[in-house]
Amino acid sequence: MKLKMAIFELTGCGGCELTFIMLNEKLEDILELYDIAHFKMISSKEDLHKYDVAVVAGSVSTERDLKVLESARKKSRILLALGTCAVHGGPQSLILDEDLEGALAEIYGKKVPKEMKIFAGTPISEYVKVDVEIPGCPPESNDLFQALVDLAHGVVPYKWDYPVCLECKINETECVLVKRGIPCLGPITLGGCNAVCINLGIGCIGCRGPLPEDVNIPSEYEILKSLGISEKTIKRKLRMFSKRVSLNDHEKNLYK
Amino acid sequence: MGDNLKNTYLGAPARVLEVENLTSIEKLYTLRFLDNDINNKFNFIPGQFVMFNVPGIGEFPVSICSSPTRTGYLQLCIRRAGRVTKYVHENIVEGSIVYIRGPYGNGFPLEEMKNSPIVLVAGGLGMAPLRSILLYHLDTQHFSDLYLFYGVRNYELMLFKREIRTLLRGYYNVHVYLSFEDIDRGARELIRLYRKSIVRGMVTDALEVLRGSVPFEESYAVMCGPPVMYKFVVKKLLDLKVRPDRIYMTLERRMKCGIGKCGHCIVGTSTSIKYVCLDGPVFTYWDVLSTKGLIE
Amino acid sequence: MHYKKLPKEFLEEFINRLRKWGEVHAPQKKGKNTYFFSRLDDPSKVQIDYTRTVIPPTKKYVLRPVEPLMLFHGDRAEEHTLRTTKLVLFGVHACDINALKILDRVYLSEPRDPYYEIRRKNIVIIGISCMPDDYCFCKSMGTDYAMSGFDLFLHELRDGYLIRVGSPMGHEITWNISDILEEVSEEDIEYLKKFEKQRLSSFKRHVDISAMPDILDLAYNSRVWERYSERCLGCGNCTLVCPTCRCFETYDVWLSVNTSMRVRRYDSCFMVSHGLVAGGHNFRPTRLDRFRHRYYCKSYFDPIHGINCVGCGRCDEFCPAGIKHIEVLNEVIGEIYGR
Repeated sequence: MKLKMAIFELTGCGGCELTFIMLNEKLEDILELYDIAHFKMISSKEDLHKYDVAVVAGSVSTERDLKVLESARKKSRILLALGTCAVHGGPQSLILDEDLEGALAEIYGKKVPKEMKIFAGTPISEYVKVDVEIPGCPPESNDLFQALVDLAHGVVPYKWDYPVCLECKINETECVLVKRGIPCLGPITLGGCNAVCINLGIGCIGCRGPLPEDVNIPSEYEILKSLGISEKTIKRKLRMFSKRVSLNDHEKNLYK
Repeated sequence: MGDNLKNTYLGAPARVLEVENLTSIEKLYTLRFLDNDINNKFNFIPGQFVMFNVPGIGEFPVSICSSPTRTGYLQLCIRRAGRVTKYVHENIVEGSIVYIRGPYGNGFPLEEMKNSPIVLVAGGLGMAPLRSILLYHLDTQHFSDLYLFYGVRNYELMLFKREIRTLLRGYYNVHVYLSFEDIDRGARELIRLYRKSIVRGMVTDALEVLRGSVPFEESYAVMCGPPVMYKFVVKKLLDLKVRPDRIYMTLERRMKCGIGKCGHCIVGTSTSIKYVCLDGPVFTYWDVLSTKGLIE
Repeated sequence: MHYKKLPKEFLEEFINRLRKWGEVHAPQKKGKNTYFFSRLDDPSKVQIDYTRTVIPPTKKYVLRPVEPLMLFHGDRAEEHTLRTTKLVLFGVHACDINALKILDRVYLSEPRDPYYEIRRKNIVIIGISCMPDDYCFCKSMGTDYAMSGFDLFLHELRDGYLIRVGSPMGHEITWNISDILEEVSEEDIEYLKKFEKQRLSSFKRHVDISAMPDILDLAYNSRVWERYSERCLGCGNCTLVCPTCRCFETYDVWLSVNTSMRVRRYDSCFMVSHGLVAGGHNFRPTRLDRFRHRYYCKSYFDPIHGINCVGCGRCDEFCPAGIKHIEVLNEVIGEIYGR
């Protein structure tokens, strides 16, 4: 019997949902295992009953997001957070709650619509229990494929904890940080992307979010500082994709 | 033409003959290799382990809990603890095919212990590998006396209830002592029936209670349990005057290969490195003294 | 030992002739100054003066970074068929050749790793002499010179290379290409002696290993581990590039709904999951535990092969936090001496 899946979109660029469509020929395999009950990007058909798997992309940034998320959680057995916005908050989480008004004014001028109730971008796990997390901006479609097939077989998808450096070294790519002094967040960012940016000679911007458990932000900070980068830029860099970058005492002083 | 790899990392297909629920988190799997030749040849020493390989899902190490004296099948006690074991509990049923490779590791030095008294100290799931020794003794009368100390949180979580209850009733030279941290209904019933064999507390408390009644000075001691247990039990055994060279323990690590390659079970420092899968899983007290980190 | 001389003008010819014994792989350059071993199609591309590669050739050609182990279709399983080509690794440094002996000890001890064994059997190793750079400390580890473990070893001379023949395969090669080889002259020997003298005096980093394993063990609670582990990113770069680090992780990958592949991939003891067991207990829960574990594993004194580290300097060159292996060791050792 096929499982029922629904895909919900909160605040984001839509790239994560596109990852699903970009499964291409593997989409056939997924459709062997799942019926798609709800996915606005591909169909206006709506089935608002129970789901086996709810895939949620985007961060919680509006009241509507929160409603959609809470309903998705209530109706699903397994909730999968897809993409860095859903898992870590994404770039929209750069704005802190206290700066929201200013940010709105900057974009909408004085005429901020009254009905516009927004929050700072927030990982969905701050509101509901999340069963599976697939970060990435955009997430790797193979990660999504592996997770969906795992779930259909009744097995918990792998939760990796290796940094971007692992695949970068395996590829024997020139280390941009060590050899060229280019800022790179590879050592503290969750791998799985095959170090695609470093392969192109660009430093990692941390789009997959920080390592899940042990992540040494202060040391990365010192490294970037030694490259002559300003504190403000480093802070932005570290926070670009993740609201979850842990703030220990050292950093609190740093960010004052 | 490809080269023959001899299935080192695959193992041999085996069919699940029976699945028995032991507790809410542990099940006993009885398996038999599809190839009769392997069934006949498969021999092991209590304390050794196998790799349990589930196609498409993954692999994990698990100690053998049946006895080598009972041939033709293999019993493995599997706790639902991780990704693969959860899958096994939910999906591997009677008739399922899995792949088994092994046996790996050193096992207990049974020859050395022959005709001596032996004290088995089990904590929780640690009963599984020790059951192998227990059954071996029941079949061969290998030891002069066998004293089993089994500590478990409550009766609900006790493994091999039927067998242990049978032995509690009294069996020639096998003496069973249980310790429960919480007294649930089953534990209360056992206390009523076998008051002298049941202690409320930890397994070390049970050992203390039996000070003077068990010939610790002449016994070999073998222990298996959760990581935190070893330090306390070793201390207690030494206190009870078990000779340090007669203390053995079997340890656990997450082996990925089981054959000393993958590095996951490496323990120790610059002066002594041990592979739990190759040099163990059974270690002596001397090993513990010379290899930091073997027990906490 | 049997010695021959290869005149410099025949170097490219020599490399081309080697193709008879397998596909020639040699050090090549990418980016600014990153070296890696790869198939050499054009002998003029060989970086004969390279410092060190990212992944050691003696590791990556025997223990692949990512390797399929088996295929599953439902509950049917079959081993992945290994198709090996004969390889000639040209230009391997002494430290890596010595590191391969350590890998051999692990992977060729019973039960042997079949993937490693097959690849290992199909490799011809041509060593080359080198001058230490700022990172090298192989001399301290006693691995700066290869006395065995190679088929041929080339030593730089003014106008060519002195070749040491280290195996029957090496003899076969030199026998077959004798038309481009010469006898070694007195002048060549003098040059070799001078070269070696200069090499030995060029090392900038030293550590005294005679009592090191014990001293490190005694320094288990040293604050030095703690201080450095605060700087350590836990990224595992040092272990991935290490010629003697050989941990691997295995996992299953779905190829379609019902077919999957078991794969193994380089792993690092710096990953939090490395010391984890089912049920959630972690034997190395903190970064300090993991940091110290690596130093202990690298500094382990094996009764037969000595220390597990060959001093190639890769961990230092590729550490983003700039932690220097030998500095840490020397600090720990210094501390216990009460200096």
